[in-house]
Order: sequence, then C-alpha cells, then structure tokens
Amino acid sequence: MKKPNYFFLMLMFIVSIVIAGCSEEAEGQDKPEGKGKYPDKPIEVIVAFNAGGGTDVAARTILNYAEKYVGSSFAVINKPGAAGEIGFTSLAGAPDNGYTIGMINPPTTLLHPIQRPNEVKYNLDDFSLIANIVSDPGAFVVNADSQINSLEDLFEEAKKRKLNMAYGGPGTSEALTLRRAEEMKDVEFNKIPFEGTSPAVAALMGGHVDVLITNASEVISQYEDKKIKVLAVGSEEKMDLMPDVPTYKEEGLDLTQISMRGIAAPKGVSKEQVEFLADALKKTMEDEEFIKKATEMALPLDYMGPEEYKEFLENYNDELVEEFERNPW
Amino acid sequence: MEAVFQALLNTLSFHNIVVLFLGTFIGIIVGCVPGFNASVGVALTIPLTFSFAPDTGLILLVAIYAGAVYGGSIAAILINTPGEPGNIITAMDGYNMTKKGQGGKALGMAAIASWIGGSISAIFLFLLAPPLSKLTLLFGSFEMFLLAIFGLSIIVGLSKGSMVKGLMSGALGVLLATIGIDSITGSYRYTMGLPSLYEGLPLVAVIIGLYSLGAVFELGEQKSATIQNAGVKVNKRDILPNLKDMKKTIKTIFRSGVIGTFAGITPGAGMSIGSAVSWEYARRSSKTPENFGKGEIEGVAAAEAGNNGVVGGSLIPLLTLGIPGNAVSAIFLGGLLIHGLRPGAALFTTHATTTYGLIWGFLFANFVMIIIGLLGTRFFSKLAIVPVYLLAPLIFVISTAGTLADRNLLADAVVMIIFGIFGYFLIKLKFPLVPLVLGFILGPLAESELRRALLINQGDLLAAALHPISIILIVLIIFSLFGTQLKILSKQLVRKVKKQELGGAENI
Amino acid sequence: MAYGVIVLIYIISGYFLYESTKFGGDAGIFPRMVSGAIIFINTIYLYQTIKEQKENSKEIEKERNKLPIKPSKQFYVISILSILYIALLSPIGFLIVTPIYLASIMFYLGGRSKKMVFICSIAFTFVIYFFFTSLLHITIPQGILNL
Repeated sequence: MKKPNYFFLMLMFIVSIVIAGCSEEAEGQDKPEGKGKYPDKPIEVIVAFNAGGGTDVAARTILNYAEKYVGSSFAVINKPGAAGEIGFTSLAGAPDNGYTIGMINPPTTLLHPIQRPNEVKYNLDDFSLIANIVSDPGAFVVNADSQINSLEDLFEEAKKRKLNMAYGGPGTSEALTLRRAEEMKDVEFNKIPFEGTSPAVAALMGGHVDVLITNASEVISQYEDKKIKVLAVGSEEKMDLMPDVPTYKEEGLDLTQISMRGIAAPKGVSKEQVEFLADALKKTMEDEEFIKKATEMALPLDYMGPEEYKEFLENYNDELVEEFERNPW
Repeated sequence: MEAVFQALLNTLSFHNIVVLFLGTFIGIIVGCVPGFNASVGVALTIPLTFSFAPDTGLILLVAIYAGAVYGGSIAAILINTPGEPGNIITAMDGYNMTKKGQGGKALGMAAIASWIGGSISAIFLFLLAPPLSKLTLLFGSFEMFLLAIFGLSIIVGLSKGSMVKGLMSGALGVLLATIGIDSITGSYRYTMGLPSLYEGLPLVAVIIGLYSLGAVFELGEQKSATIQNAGVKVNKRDILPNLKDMKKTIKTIFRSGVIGTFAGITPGAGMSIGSAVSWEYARRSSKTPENFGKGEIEGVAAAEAGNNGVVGGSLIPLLTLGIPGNAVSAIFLGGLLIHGLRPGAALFTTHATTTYGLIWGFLFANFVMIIIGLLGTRFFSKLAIVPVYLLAPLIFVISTAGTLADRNLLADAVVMIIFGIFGYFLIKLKFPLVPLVLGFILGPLAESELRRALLINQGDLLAAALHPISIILIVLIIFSLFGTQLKILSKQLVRKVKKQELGGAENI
Repeated sequence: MAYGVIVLIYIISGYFLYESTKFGGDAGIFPRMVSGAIIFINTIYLYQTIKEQKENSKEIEKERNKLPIKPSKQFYVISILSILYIALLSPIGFLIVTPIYLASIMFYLGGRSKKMVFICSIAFTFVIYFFFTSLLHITIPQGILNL
C-alpha cells in the first residue's frame, strides 16, 4: 500500500460527497404514504427519448407535480433509440404490476407498427392507455418577411413556383399531412427533410427554405418574437398559446394534425391502477401551479381519460392504416 | 444595464456561489468519467433543478456544462480516454506528455487554456450575442456541407506519418457513420434488422471502445509498471506550467478561444471542429510543427481553449434565437424551458436578470474551474504513477458503465468492445485514430447537408457556392489541403521576383 | 497482422458496397463512393506493405524485436475476459461479475498483494455502483441479485 492511496482516497471522498448531496435530494421526494395499497414504491416511467429532450422534459415536469396526488415518487428511465421504437417496445413488454408505465407519442407510436409490421414488435393493443397530457398541433410556418400571409397564399404561391418545404422526413406524420394537403389542393412542394426542428427553424429564419411544417409548441418563442409567421395550426380549435392563428379547417384545408404525449402502461395492468393513475393525472392537470408552469413552458395541455383516449387512438390508428394501405408516404 | 448589475449581485449571493462551486466540481467529475459528457451531465441535473429558483438552477446547469467540457481533458491527458468527443485532440499531445512525466504540466495548461478560452467566449456572449446570432442564420445547407468538409480536410494535417493511413482511418469513420436510418430518404442502411442500430453506431460507445479499451490494452502490454515511462523523474518545479510555457502558448490560447467561440456559433460544428481547427492552426503557425501530436504543450493549449470556447459560442444562438448549436445546448434548452424561460428577445428584456445571471455564472464558472483545476492538478497527476494492474481493469469497468449510462442499452457495450478490439489492431499498425472519429462525426453531416443542398437548390449548387460564407469556406478548405504547397510555391515566387530585382539592379 | 487488417477492411468495405446497391432512392450513392474510396486506399496500402516488407525485410526483423507487431498474450487474455464480462453482465449482474473481473485482471497484470487486490476490486465495484445508481439513476444490470 503505497502511493495509490492518494488517488483512491480522493476518489472515495469525491464520490461520497456527490452521493451524499444527491441522495438527500432523492429522500426529500420519497413520501411513503399508505403502505399496503398501490403505489407503495416508486413507479418507473419509461421515456423513449433522450434525457433533456422535449418529451423527457414534459414527462419530468408533470410527474414532478403528480407525485403529490399519487403519493409515491417516479423514476424516469430514458430508453432512446430508433425514433422511440426501442422505448415503446420495452414499455409494451414491461411487467404489468403497475410499477412500470411510460410515455407514448402518438402518432409516432402508432406509425412504427403500421409502417413496418414485420419488424416492430408491438402495436397499439399492447398498451393499456392511462391518459393523454399534451396535444401539440402541427403548424405551417413562414419567415416574418415572407410575402405569404395565409394558407391560401401558400397554396396560390405553390401553384406558381415550387416552394421549398422543410419537414421532418419521410414516414413522419408531417409527411402524411403534406401528402394529403398536396392531393387536396393539387400542388406540389419541393420537400426538404430535416433532422429535428431546430435546424429546420434555423433554415427558415435564414431564408434557406420558404416554409416549414412542424409542431406549434416548437416555434412559440420565435412566434412571440415575431421572427416567424404561423399560418395555421392543425388542431380542431384555435390554440390558447397562439390565439390569433386560424386552424387548417378554418383556412379551407380539411385536415387535422396533432402530436400527442400521453401515458400508458403495458397491457394487463389492473383497471383500478389505471383509473387511480388517470385520476391523479387529472388532478395534477387541474393544479394551478402546474398549469402556470405548463404555460411558461408552452405545453399545450389536453387531458383525455383512459376510455376517451383509447377510443381516440383507435380511430386515429384506423385512419392511419387506411391511408397507409392506400399509399405509403 | 441595471439588470446586468442586479444579475451580478444575485450571482454573487452566498448560495449561488456555493451552487457555482458545486456545479463546476460535479461537471469536472462528470467530464472525467469516460462515457459521461456534458450532455449526460446537464440532462441528469435538469430534474434536480425543479425546486430551485430559475437563476440558481441555470447557474448550476451552466457550471456543469463548463466544468464537464474542461473535465474531459483530465481523462484524455492522463489515461488517453477522452471524456468528450472534443477531447480527442487534447489526448494526442496530452497523453504523450503524461508518458514523459509532464502530466501535471499538461493538466495545468489544460486548466489555464480552458479558463481563458471559456472566458473569451463568455465575453463574446455577453457583449455581442445578438449581432453574432445573425451569423448562425447565414449558414445554409451548402455552407454546412463546406464546414464539414473543412473539418475533414484537417485529417490531412493530422496524418503526418502516413497519408494513406490517415485517409484510410478517416474514410473508415465516414463509412461506419452511414450505418442507420438515412435521414433524407428514410431508408435503412446496414442496420441488419437491429433496432439499436437504427440511429447509427453510438458515438459514445465508438469513442470509448477505440480509446478507453485501447488504453486498457496498451497498459496491459507495457513493460513500465505505471503510465509514466519507467525511469522518468519529475522535478517538483515542473509539476505546473511555468512562465516560459505561458509565454509560448498565450497567443495560441487567445486565438483558439476565438476560433472555438465561432465554431460554437456555427450550427452543427461543435467541439470537435473547434478543437481540431484550433490545433491545426497552432501547428501551422508553430516553429516546430513536427512536435505536434507527440507531446507539444501548445497542442494541449490550442485544443482545450478551442474546446471551451465552443461552450459560450453555442449559447449565443440558443439564447437569442432558440436554436441550439450542438447536442449539449439542445439539452440546455430543456433546462431553460423548465424554468419558464423561452429563448428569444424576452430573455434580454423581461427575464434579463436571470439571463445575465446565467452569463455571469458562466464567466465565474470558468474562474472556479481554474481554481479547482490547478489545485487538483497535483492530485490528478499522481494517477500517472498508479500501478497499471489497478488502473487497467478499472478503466474498463468505468467505461462499460459509462457506455451503458448513455442509452441504457447493453448492445452499446457490445459495440464498445468490437471497436476496442478493432482499434487495438489499428493502433498496432500505427493508424491514427483521430481521423476516424472526425470522419465519424463529420461524415454524416457532410452527406446529409450536401444532399439537402442539392434538394433545396434543385441540383444547381453554383449559386450556393457564390454566397460569401461559401467562398470563405472554400478558400479555407483549399488552404487547409494545399497550404504547405502554397507556402512553398509563394516562397519560390518571392525568391524569383527578388532575384530578378537583384539582377536588374546589377545591370544598372 | 497488417495483412489480416487489410483483408478485414476489404471484407467490410465490400459488404458496404454490396449492400449499398439495394438502398432505395439516392441513399446508396454516398456509401458507395466512400466504400469504393476505401477499397482504392486499401489497395495502395497493400502495395506499400508488400513493398516495405520486400525492401527491408532485414530491418523489419530488427524492428520486430523492438516493437512486437503481433497481438500480445495480454491482448488475448484481456479481450476474452472483457467479452466474458459484458456477456455475463446482464444474466449474472454487475455487483457479482465486476469484482471477479477486476480481481482476475489485477492478478493477471501482476497485482501481488492479495489483500490489496481484493479490497480494491470490491471497493471499486461498490463505488462505481453507487455513483451510477444513486447519483445518476441509471439502471445497471442487476442479474440474479434482486435488489
């Protein structure tokens, strides 16, 4: 035992400090109330995207407020990869004791098994749905100094010249919306795929593309700074966060385009547990502090209970299957 | 202006200073551990900041970001396992210095260079954020493609020993990076039906495999019982960089800090370009370029100043436009949102106190970094004399855990070990590894941006090539590829002209 | 060894080249170009290697004594143990496999004091385990230990 002691001791010392600091934090969150009934230990939440990403931040925020109503803590586990497929698959195959739940992102979650039925090892029936949390409508966006001021202008202009349209790439729900819009309005865009919204927004603001289709919540800051114009949003009703922006339908484009973030458990979880969690999430989403936070974070909240959510997604799924059989995008 | 001073006072409050120290410290530790990097560090801290006031939470996050980028250099220098992709350049010179018993000097220089580089970028962020953010928007797809090519062109400078080996290594990196779903057409390339490969080979696992495992094998084989070559005696005075070292490197540090800041502002470039370009520039302007890559202190200084300059640079488009310049700042965006701060003009008006608090916090984090860094150097450098039989297996286990931490996938550990074994043979045959990693990072960028540029311009790239930024980049690429030849050529020309002049004079 | 790597690179780039013909759209162009370039560079490398060995086969003999170009025994032992470690990590669990791995490599690489090796391997395992699980909430394979 000679020199290495220094390093050894220091490593131990550092690690113990860091752990001490953090375990305190973790203990503060543990509130073991009501032993014997569900839940009596932390619930694991699988998030199919990277820590720090949009879905992750949304999940952690609502779960943080939900602990109060659930009476237990949540442990978020990130299982990113393959556009969420890895995480969704592992949620579908998780133990059904109610202590593993996860975030789902329809329509992305629905699209994987529809587009590659032989490779993807889950489908909608493998989940028991708990609640929807966020419904983020799609949006057509142009640069602030663009000549285009409405959806109508956009399609007019598209008839005259080929507009460069930034979107999320083939196979995404944006691609489907674009294809249907092109069919309805008899136009054709020059579609430019981008990985992720940020580079696409940068390209739009720099004038490298003419128009962008994305999710409304992703461009709220730029919208508020008036650096971009949002032509229309894909929800049924106008968005609270963008009250002056019309919907697709109001502008004569008979489509909806919504990205959702919800919570689901693997199939087989007891009905009581599903209802308990759904109820707790409902209360959380009525919590004023949470609503304030969500507004600051530009999260378009939209609660749907287990029954309603199931019906909605089943209809959505049928619609997607139909479109896919007609013509893959 | 008032907000700036208010923010300064807030930042200097007792608990914020404690948080600043703690954050920088955690960041350095996170950066040290192979597989952990600034992205993981920031991502995992975001949920902890829920209960904090916005300014305190953001100071914690920015301190971790800054600390982690510096911390990555420690493992790179001591055990040749870069904690961050950007530190691969640092490892080239740093690890060779450690072998020669100059590990302390390299660590000290890394701390100083990181401090100055980070501070320069903080000043840019503080004074020039809005105008500089316009630069980000000038980069279209074709410019990004040229930027990636510029980064790749540095491989030529990096493969001094054998051009064939350098090019081969770089090309292999580019080829391996094509694995995964093609972002333009959505087709599955070389995925062999494995979902874990859909997003490509994981960069973290590839780097750890090549470097950490490479280090383990090297340590296992070497005759010396410690990392430091047997028989090297370290003079006590030589533990830290001295005045002579500082004089030699100070110009490089400042220049690299500026290069790094601009690399941070440009979208998609990030730390690997920031440090590689700084290093290459330093090598070219050095009087002893042949020492670079063999343990040159100036190389460490350039790479680290460049690396840390990227931190502040990447925050500029993030705060002003909401466009993250690299992976870490994309995660940082999540941290801002959780505290109700949406990037954009409002950050500098409504939330100015918090925003300037963040900027002050970043500036001070750099000072904390150098304090911890210089104090810790004496301790850290002892690692060079820890017996290898303890060190080698430990590096492997930490690397495995670090790889798993990235995506929670055991498949990544398999990738790591495959690359470790592959890397062993490359190292044995004296293939340089840096080109492989650079190719792996920049290859996909070059491919997708070129194809995107072709789509946007409908096949005609001439117009895009005539944009001012494109022209600058093309000139830089030519200089980087043929700089040495051009230098020789111009010298010959000058000589010829002088001769003629002399000849003319004689005639008179 | 150089020839082994050259053959391996030919196989890899050949596979990439072959597969790239099957991709839809223009997805195959870039991989085709790069793998073609690699095959070209590899051929130059093969030529260089042959030339080098012919020209100074005597000098290389000398160099061989200085720097072994063949993989060492240590390389085989470490890589086999490491592969075993990764393979057993999931079924048996981090807390059991890690100290065994650490101790065996430490002994193999010349750790003499038994006490030192055992203490270090167990202590390191726990430090790493707690660092990753408590601080970072990362699931490390539990295996048969059901904690």
